[in-house]
Amino acid sequence: MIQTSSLPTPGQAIELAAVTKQWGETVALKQIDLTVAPGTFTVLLGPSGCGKSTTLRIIAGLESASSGTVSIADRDVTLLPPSERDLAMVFQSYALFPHLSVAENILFGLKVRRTPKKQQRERLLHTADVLGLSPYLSRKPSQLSGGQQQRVALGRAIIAEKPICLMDEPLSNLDAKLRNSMRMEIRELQQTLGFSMVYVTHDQAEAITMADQVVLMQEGEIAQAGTPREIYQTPATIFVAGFIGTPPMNLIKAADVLQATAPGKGMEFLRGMHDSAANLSQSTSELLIGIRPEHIGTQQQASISAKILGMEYLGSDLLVTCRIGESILLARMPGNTEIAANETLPLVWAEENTAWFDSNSGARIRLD
Amino acid sequence: MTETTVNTVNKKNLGRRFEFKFDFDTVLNTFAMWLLAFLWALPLLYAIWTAFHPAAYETRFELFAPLTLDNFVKAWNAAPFARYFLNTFLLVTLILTSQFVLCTLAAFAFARFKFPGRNILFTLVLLQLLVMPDILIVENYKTIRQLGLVDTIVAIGLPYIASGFGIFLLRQTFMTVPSELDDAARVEGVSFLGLLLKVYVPLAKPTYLAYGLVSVSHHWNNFLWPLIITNSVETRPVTVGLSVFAAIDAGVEWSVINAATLMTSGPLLIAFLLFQRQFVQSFMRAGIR
Repeated sequence: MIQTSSLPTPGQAIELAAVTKQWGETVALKQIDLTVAPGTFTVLLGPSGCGKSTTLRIIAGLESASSGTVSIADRDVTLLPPSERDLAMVFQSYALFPHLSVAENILFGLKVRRTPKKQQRERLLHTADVLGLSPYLSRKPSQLSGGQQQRVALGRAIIAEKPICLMDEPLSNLDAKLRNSMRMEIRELQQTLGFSMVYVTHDQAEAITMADQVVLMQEGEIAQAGTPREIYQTPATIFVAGFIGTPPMNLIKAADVLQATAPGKGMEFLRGMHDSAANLSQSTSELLIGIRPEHIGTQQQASISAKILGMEYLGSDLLVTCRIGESILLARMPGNTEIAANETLPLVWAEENTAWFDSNSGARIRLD
Repeated sequence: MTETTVNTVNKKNLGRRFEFKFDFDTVLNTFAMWLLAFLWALPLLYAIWTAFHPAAYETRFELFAPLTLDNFVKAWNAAPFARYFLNTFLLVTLILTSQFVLCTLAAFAFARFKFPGRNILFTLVLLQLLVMPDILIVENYKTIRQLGLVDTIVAIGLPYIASGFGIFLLRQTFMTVPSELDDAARVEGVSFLGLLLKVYVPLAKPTYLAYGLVSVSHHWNNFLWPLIITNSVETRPVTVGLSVFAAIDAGVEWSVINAATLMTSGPLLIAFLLFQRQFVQSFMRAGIR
């Protein structure tokens, strides 16, 4: 109905080059390099204290980088205040002004920038319509539910039609069901409006489902950046392997596996892989095998024998905890698999699903 | 037989005594509360009694004594109370507005800006709370005389405008404003002054109300400093005017004096009744100044 504001906002690229942040002795970010392509959805993921929020605040301009440069659309913005970076931001606590009504909250930025009244009104009606907030415009934030407050915060971010939107754990205060539906909605908004999004979360489900690019951070460094598929299928370090996936990838000592493998029953590739991996890593440190729980199967003729420690029946799946040598691993099998407890379980998995890691450096050893 | 009766009686007594003891405590407390309240209210009650009755009933209590408003008329005509009221009103407004402006700006700076010497400066502001203003009367008088402001309304207010208490109170309130609100406003491009006026001040409204009430009541009642610095009808606030009026050499007309007293404290009493809750809360939270 209102053409003026339904035009998609072209997203802009964001680039961080060697950004470092420190407070006195504590180093929060170490030489972060990050590129966000225009119009894409990037999720900064990581455990608490990994520096993801700091990174976001540096992009926003709410914190200054100790060194390095931040550029938006090829313009160096390192020293510019947030308002001159042409971006919108949604905060974890929503940061709604409690003394203003929903309409005034959404219009806050437009009023500050003295947008013409008529345009303010049109955009407000449109935004409220998109977010389903029309009946609540005259209410105060305290009279709304958590989900509605969240929408108001979204409204305040999208009404400005900025080319970049930053979100700092926006869904963490909602209940699980609402979180799922908001996840879809935010992704859809980003796709239709076309802005670039940088989204911070500690929830890997959010990252995997929403992102074009997942940036997994650990202790102020980027552990791996890539599409959700890349991150899941080819984790670059032990940390990534152990963080992504519920349950995450099994990391077991290669020596234990080799010892438990009987010759001539389909797992011979392990020996060969081990040798080339040992060659490549060129260190005396121990090698680890990474294997996702869902890639482990059982077969009569399989050659790795594992001792069953426990089983958890989840309906569609059966989670089996078992032991090979000193290593404990989890296998996710179809729910209809019949396994007797206290039995020795013959395990099998495919060559292409086997990942190798150097336990000292934590890095993946690429065999191809 | 008898033993059992005694036992039950004892038990009953025990129970009753227990209950009675509990009651006794409450009764004592309530009684003490009423007594204290009565003692506190007594002067006011006496003032009301004498002000509304003819002079003959000043020291005599008779329930159906004739009511009259003559005392008020007499008092109003005996001294320029209209002028005194205007003076007090101007004084209180001047002090309050200046305090709001100064304290808001100072408190915002202390709460949200990081600058060298911030803590030392804030300590100095807090030190002001330790100094009784009455100690400085001579010093203040000298300063005011040098400024050539003796016997003006501005002179009465000037020493109180930079209120350490106001700065402290507002700073504490501003510090409770979530920093995310601050961030959100900054992302939208609000200037510092806009941030202060659009986010901080509206959120601190209850504090402003409480502080305003305390300040108004304090300066409405202030006596010593205005007495010293003023010496004409044009500048005298009601408190000084009342004392001048009450110090009559020939005979004391209690009914007229009390009528004048009620008149001068009336606006404050009404304000107190209107804002009772905030008033009490503010005192509970912040002590008196």
